Amino acid sequence: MTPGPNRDDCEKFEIEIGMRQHGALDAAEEALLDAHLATCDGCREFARLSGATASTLQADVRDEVARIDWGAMERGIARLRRNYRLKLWLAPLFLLQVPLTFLIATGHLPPPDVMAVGPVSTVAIYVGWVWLVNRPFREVLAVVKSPEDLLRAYRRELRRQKLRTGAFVAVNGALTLFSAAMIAAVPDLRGKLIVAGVTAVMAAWTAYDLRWKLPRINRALAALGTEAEGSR
Amino acid sequence: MSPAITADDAVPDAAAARSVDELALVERFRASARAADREAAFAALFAAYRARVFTLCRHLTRSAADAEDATQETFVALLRALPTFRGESSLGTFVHRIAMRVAIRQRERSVRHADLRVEPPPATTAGQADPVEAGEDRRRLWAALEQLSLEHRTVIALFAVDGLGHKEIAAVLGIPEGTVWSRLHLARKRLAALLAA
Repeated sequence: MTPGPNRDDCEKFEIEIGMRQHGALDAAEEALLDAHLATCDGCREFARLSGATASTLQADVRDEVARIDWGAMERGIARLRRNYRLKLWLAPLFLLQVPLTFLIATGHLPPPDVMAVGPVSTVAIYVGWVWLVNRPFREVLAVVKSPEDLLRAYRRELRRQKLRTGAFVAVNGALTLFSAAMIAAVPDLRGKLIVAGVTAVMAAWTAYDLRWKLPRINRALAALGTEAEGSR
Repeated sequence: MSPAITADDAVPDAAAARSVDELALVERFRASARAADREAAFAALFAAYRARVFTLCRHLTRSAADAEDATQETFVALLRALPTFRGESSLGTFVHRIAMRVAIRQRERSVRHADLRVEPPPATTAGQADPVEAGEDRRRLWAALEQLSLEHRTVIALFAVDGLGHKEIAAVLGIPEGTVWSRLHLARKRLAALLAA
């Protein structure tokens, strides 16, 4: 009786099936693979399914690519670039916010002490705005600057996000409780309303992070898979 | 089925010639003082990579619309990144790494918006024995692809891009070539199991 194929060999040949489909086997290796395929139904079926799957996926998207209006896509890129420039140009307006607001509210420019406080806050807002506008690019460009495992870098980024968000929820939650307790301690109604408003904003922020942001990060981590963790 | 040999593997000189042209374009983009010259260089880069970037994004996102958005964002990010390109990797690796990161973010966004329905590409059933059955098989295939982990899906997506060789795929993912093959194998095993279920 002829012995059946060894499972360890099948594993090796299954990897080689993928390599052959992408032209990475030499003639001798192909001959060995063919000899194995001639005797192994499981590997033949795996080769058939792998080939059919790869060609279907390629053909499906190739048809879609042929139908794309590239001119419209170029216009879309131009629009995104315009939006980005516009967002950056909006930033300098923040530098004028204190004198402008004062001018509109009172009809004259603010006194020197207010003018002195203004630049500090406006520069802080300006820096924050530019940081925010550039944030998506920073995330993307971080991965091309380093040649490391892209998915491992992504996993690290998600874990950092999770840690930051968790810490923020803890601190913000504690401050929200403290702020809520302070409402009763404030003597006048106007003060109570201001503290209640601040408390509501902080509570909403905490709830958003707990209800949507943390679950989204957890989902992304779960969808990543486990192999990238140990791959070298 | 005939083996899907990539253009780079079949004609090694073509890849070298292309990379020389690309480097010249990148240099033209960076060095030119005239906006029109920079735009022309960028348009040439867009024409060279648009199909491959879209294909990669299409396999990583849930619909053609998401893939188009991701493709546009990839090229905007490329414009920002080109001044930092030092030629340590090929431009193709650089572009595809950006595309992958952007597509992953687009995918995350579509999950956030609870748009969980997968939209396979429109069927091309002309000449097939049973178009209905073929269409159903394709829907099952795309649904099974959706259930793969991101690390398995990315490797299948990269191998589905015409003209990307395994060396470049390893560089795009930032992993050794041996890991690329074993990851492709595990991804296909998982996909086969999902299709058989």
